[in-house]
Amino acid sequence: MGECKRIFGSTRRMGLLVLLAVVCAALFFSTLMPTVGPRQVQNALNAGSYGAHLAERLRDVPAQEQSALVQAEIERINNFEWYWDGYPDAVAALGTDENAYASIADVPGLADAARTGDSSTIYWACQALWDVLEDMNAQIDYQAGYAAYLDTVQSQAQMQSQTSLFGVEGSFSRRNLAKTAEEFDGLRGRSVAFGNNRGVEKWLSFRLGDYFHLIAVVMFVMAFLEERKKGLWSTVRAARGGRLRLGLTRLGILCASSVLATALYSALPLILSLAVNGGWGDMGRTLQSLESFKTCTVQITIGQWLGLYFALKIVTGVCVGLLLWCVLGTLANIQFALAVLGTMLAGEYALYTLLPVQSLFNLFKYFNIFSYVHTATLYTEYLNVDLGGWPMGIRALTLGALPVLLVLLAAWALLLARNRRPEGNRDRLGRLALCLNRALDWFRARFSLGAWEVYKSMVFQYGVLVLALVVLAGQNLIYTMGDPSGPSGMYLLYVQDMQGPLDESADEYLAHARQSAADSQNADELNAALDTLEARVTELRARAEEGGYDPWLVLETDYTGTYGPAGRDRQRLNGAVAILFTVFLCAGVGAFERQSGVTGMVRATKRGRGGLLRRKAALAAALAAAVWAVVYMRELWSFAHLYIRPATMVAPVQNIDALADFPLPVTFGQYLALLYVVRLVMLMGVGFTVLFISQRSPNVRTAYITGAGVLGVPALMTALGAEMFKWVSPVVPVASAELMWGLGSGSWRYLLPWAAWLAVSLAALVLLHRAWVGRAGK
Amino acid sequence: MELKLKNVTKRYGAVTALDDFSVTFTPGIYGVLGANGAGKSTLMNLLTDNVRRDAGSITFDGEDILDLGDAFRAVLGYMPQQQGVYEQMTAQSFAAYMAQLKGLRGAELRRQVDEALSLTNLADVRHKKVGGFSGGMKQRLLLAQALLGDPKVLLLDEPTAGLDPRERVRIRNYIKELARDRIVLLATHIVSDIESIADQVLLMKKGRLVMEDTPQALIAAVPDTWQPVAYHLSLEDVYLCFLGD
Repeated sequence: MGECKRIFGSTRRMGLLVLLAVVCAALFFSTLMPTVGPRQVQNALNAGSYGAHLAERLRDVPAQEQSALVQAEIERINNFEWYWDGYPDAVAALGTDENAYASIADVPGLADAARTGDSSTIYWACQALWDVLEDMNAQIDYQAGYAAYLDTVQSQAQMQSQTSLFGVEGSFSRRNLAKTAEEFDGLRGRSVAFGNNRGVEKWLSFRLGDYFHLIAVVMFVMAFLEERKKGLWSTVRAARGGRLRLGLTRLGILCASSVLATALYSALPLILSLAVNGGWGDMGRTLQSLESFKTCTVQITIGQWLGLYFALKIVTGVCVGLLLWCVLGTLANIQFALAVLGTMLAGEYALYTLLPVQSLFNLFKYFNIFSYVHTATLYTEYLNVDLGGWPMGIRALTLGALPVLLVLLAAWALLLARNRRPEGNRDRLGRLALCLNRALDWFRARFSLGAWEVYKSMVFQYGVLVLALVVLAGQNLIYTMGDPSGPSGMYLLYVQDMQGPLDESADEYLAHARQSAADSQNADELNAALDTLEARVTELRARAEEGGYDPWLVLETDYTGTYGPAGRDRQRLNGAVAILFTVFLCAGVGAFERQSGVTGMVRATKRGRGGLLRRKAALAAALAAAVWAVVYMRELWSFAHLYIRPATMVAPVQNIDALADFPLPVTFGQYLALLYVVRLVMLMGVGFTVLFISQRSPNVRTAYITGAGVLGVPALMTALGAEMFKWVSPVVPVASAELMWGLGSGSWRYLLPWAAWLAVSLAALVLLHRAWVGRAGK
Repeated sequence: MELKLKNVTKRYGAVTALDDFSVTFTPGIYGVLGANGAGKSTLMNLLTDNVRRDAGSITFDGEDILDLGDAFRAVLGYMPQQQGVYEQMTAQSFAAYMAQLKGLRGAELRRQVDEALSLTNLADVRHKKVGGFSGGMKQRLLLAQALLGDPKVLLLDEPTAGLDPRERVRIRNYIKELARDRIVLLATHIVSDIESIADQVLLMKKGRLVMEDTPQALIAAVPDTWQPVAYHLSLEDVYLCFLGD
């Protein structure tokens, strides 16, 4: 009971579990929409509700008519969106705004989006509906072709068994073909039914929850080793219940923790998914009604599978936890045990992800820890591996081994709890550690003070791992999406083609285009587009003459989509992520000395004040720059890859309407350089502020929590649409794009957020200097 | 070389930790004796500028140590009472890091690190993580780092606590050797350490300097009526007689 209370009563541990659940839910939520923002959340909810109603309607419609119905819905949404874009056909069809509203009266939220008058808002509302409709189309196509797919499996098995490669009697290939054909034959005649699959399908495609589950299990297993870290192992073992009974209690705790982790990181995302996507649908349908289970040969319903999945998730969680517990418990040296565990997990992950399916060694890909982590794939993937010439299904293999593993590992863990002694164990790895330390000490004796600070941050505080996570997480950010409210049709094509300085060559281009248009079959459409283009050229020339810069024709949406209002939510989200990354990297830099209890001693040395602080500040700036590179250089690369035409980089930014009054005479290249430099400076300010918070914190953990709470949470809240948080968060100055864009209107008030954040950063540096370097004095 | 405290006062709220404290240190070993809360650690913290003083001055060769700043810290070796170390570092790395902070570089850094670790009998475990060290080993490591950089002023707060008798005697003798051209301040509860090596003993009580003299003179000052703790009078008797309640 005491052990249960210690493990589950720890506010730190349980708080972390809840925090992980919130992050997991937020990450899952973010996969349900193109970008995170309040409008997108509303769009996703509306689209989910719309999809659920439509699925109800389609369920009672014959399969042949389902596709036509969905197509009609797509056209209805298209027409509505085109109407507000001013497309002639859509305008002619709907006539008035009232008719347009009436045409989508039963579609939740769309009329409200249209009433905003913002084409981007209308586009994203429609996009959420199109996504639902596309998924439905895919489901209809899949279900229509499912019987044919089963026939194809049989005919291919028949055909391949007659070829020399697969036809050898007694070979694995031959047996595999026969087994596959037999198992899929059992599915014939099994009906697949239409329903609202989106909730379950979206949840199935979210695999990050499995990793959160793994992290939670690791956390609980690590809690079993706390007495070793705190030097209490001998005391605990000397107590009456400190051996086998404690082992049995911990076995129970591991089971309970797996139940908790399953609820938080598997069930919660499912509930969220169902809530957003319009509910359960019919859970009594065959499992194969979900396209993810196309190759699954188990004959159960969706509801039965979900029950089975959660039960399996709990059991596999216990199995993985037992394995980790055994590995950590067997090795006496805790740091080496962790290193071995890390290496083992990394090796298993590499085998799981990198081994090709058809590899001779694919047994190691599927009989793998991560097969137990990603339990769902055992049902969504069909594969037989070669076991001495006999085909064995990966599901049968993995799940068949599960009870055996559970018994063996549980016995191992209990034996360790009963027999493992705290002292006097052979420490072969200790000798290895000594050799490694000797080699490392040779290098470390040559470190400069700056190198030491980097080493402390990267190695002792696991900064390398955080940095790797930052790089990995940075890959999932969305940087450029274009601006849906921009021009389209022939005008867009002309602008794309003609982009450049508006000199004589522009006139020549227009004249040539007019001539070509006259000979074209769609002359009217082309001439209308050219009229618009000429008007635009005239306007740009007049504005440039007045402003005293060179006129250029540039496709504005390239910039507005990424750096303008259309990209604002995305920019804020990326800014919030950059701030969080910086917090995680810098939080330990200042608190490490205090946590280690060496502050007084370090401050009593010649270089322990100014010299050390300068290096710590430089490190914080460098880490912020690393985050900047991960987030913003990737954005620039992504933008450059998609949109930048080198020639337009020398065009004055004033040629973009929204930047007509930009106060500096800069080109697009200079504008972008300025934006990214400002972001770097602002992010370094975040680094200094985190360093200050860290220096004032009693330990690294408090520094992480305080940094994330003071800087990270308001930034995320702002990015998620809670506007009031922008006043207490550096996210707007860090994102910078909306401020730079705002300066284009000629208003200097957009400088204020930068100035305010600079002031805060400088104040943090001054206070940091006073606290660390300043003499305690008189 | 002279380190001088003049009318130094330090208060923590209503508690006066050091009260109008004046003393002058010249090369030699000074034992600081006092009960818990007498102000020994506050004295060390004031000398290392780790706490703010409320009044008075501390000068080194006539110049305030606050004005000297890094120049004073360059001649300072400080071993704190708390066993704070970077537990993730090996003994050699820890010493090398501290040597860097003291401004040592290159071959000289490595020579001094080797010497300090040998002297404190840590050479054999130099590549082991400090986190796995016993209290005594940590104590020796802290002493080793204090000796780096050839400091002219050594502040040692409980340097021999937790050491076995052999180590204690060895280190005690080394400190005695060091003190020829240095100021060594030794704050400790182990009275025998002070008795055997200190040139002067400072008796502190409630932030005040009660007495300052050689061990022999202090022992001689114990009244004849005092009943010795052991067979003959020692500094323990001085402690109990003048500092005991």
